[in-house]
Amino acid sequence: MTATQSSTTPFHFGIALKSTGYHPASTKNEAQRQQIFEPNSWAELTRSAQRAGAVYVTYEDSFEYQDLGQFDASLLAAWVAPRTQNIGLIPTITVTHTEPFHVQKNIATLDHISSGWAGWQVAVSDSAAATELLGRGRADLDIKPLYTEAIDVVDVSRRLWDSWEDDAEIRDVATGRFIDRNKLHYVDFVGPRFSIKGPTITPRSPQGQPVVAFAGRDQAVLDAAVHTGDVLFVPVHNLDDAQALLTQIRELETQLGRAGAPLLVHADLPVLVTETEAAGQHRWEELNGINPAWLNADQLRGSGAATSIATLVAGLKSLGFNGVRLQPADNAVDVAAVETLLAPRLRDAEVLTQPAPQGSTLRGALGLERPNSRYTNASTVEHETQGATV
Amino acid sequence: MTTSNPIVPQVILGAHFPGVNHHTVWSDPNSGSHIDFDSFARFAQIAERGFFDFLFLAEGLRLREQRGKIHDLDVVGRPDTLPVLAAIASVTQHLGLVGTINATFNEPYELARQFATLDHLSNGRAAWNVVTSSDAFTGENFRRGGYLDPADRYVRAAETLNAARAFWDSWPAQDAEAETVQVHTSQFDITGRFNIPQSPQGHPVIFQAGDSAAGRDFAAANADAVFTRHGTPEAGRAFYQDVKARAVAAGRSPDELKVLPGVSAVIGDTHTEAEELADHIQAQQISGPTAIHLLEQIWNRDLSAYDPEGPLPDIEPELGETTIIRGRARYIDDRQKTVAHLRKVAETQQLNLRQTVIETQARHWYVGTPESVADQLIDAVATGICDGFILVPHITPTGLEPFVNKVVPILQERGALRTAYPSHSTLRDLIGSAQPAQKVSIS
Repeated sequence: MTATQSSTTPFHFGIALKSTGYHPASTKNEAQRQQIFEPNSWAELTRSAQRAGAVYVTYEDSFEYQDLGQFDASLLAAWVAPRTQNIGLIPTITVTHTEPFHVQKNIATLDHISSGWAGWQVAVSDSAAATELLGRGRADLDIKPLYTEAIDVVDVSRRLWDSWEDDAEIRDVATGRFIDRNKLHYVDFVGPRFSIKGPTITPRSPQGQPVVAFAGRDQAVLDAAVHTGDVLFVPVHNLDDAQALLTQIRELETQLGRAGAPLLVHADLPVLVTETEAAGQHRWEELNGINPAWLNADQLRGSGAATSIATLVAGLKSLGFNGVRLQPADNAVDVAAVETLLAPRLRDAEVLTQPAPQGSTLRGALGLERPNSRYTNASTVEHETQGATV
Repeated sequence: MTTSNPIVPQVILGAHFPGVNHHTVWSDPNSGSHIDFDSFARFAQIAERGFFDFLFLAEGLRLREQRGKIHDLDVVGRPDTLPVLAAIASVTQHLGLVGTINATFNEPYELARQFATLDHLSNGRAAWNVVTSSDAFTGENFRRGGYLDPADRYVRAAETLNAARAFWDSWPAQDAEAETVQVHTSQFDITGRFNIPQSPQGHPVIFQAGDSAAGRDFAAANADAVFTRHGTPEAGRAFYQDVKARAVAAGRSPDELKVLPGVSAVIGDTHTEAEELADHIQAQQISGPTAIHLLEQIWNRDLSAYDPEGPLPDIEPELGETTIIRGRARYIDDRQKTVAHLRKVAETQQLNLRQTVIETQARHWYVGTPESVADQLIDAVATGICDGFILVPHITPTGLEPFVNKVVPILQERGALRTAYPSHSTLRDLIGSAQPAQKVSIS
């Protein structure tokens, strides 16, 4: 693909936010650790990401204790939303021990609050700790059935997001009707792990279908993302591996008969951003001297001068990736460094698509259309929908 | 009217953004969106301008149906309670944030996380109105369906709250050790570590709303405030005395439990103007079809054949389980007694069906000039009817503006309401709720 073609192909970056950052050494500083439970810190990081031109941030979360603890990411996102604009807010919400009905209305509400910038990173809970916190026992915590259930949770959520047609609220004084009940639909979802009647309690949101993301490269995750996701975040070992993985995903799309837009695949890229190679080397040694985790794991990273990271990102784009999700080593340093050092280099290299105009949505910014409710023009007869088999 | 007590009591004020009910006159041109965040932000900012103690939201679990069809006469559709409160926290500084969340279709660990998060995000302004739900109709949207025996709903509520309290207490500060929480009760078998250090209020303020004996006992033992439907002087005073006595029996001091009825206020330049406006609003709230629907909830049978401008139905109510309406919290303690009362009112005052409903079904209204309304509110608190009020306007988001503009300054003048929020105050500070209630075991 030539440089000219690259500059017109949509390509975006987002920033992943968790704890004090993605390098374990980032937890060393006590002031840094305190920022985990300081809401303003998350708002500042999000605004910095937005100024940098990130099209989304993700807020990591888990059901059980991880990484020094965290706020409920969905409520954090709702709190940040009035303080930012024009950036996707994608909290992680787990689906194994939660109620699908609560999860979908939570994300739909974030979409209303943010005027169409909500996303949802789907995750499962496979730990004994999570099961014990729920307290109802669960025999099979294998990844495959957990993601089969996740497919059902996303499926029913999408149906519930469609269960109100866009124009259901009519405020018709003549007939005294606030809504046209014919534009509200039961979803009648029946699955092996749960069944849900519907409709939802929340009117159809600005995006209609908030953006659904998965993260990981386990086969079960790839299957789920191809079945029902909009975006997939994948770690890669090197550029050859990245190419092979992307090919595998595109083949899976054909094999599973994915309809509609192709899955947007963003490479997860841990980054440690400095102005010069020397400064990069220094920070690299400093952080890994505290905790060598990044030395040992076999993952493609952007470490060092912003120019070289930009080259790496351009390389991923040329393989056909739709974007990168940058994982800052240390929130206190690398988010600002993305804004001031990396993003300008990415723009210089013409790697990025133009920033989203005012009034667009996360779907629009990612090049996804806004679908009508699938129930538009449906009869009022109930349609029973079967969940995926375990 | 002035009180004989020289010390003017503080009047607690809550602002209820109504959800699905017939109180909202959505046909009014000033009636705004019930879903756009802008409506909630504006409503909250008006309440904060009026130095209110808190904003209150109910919760939605399933769309209401009557006669097997989704109810369409009233406002339908609302945002999810917790995320919208988190967003309101972001655009306010002092206002308390009371969210209704049921203990039936939720689990304690997740609720504890969400309320701890909200309390951190708001710097100590979160409150949880603990309610119960037990019907299979609502359960159709949840994993376990109608799994809970109605007799156990307050058992589960108490166990849920106690488990949440255990989580909130388990990690006192970020640099302190976190306990492993163990909760092994009739409803729960939980082991684990919380992932949020203790929030500014320690525990969110706890509200309760539910009128049964079990509900009152739950409030008496566990709650900081109770949201009651009993707003008239007589019923209000009886309720107040009843729950305060229950609190004392549970080992608490009576002022640890604030009694807050849901009421409406209508202001006019003259008393007559206010009365006319109140009549007009009530007539708009209770149309003919709405009157029939409300009576169906009492009669528990289809009354669609009756003329709203005609007499009350001459047939008898259907006793036993509620079948006609699903998905609405509505407590009819004695159908026959209620019907007899309606008939007496109709006969004594020569009212038709719709007029009878208007006369009997409205919550308590404070009507009058600003001075009169202020005096009535202060008097109610001074004479043991309640400790404050949860005001529900008939239009949102601007419906509380007349009250904020005209009544609040008088309350302030009389010394019954703050003239400024204290800096760094939590909701507990505002309403005067001290330490969290002790855990109470329910046998």
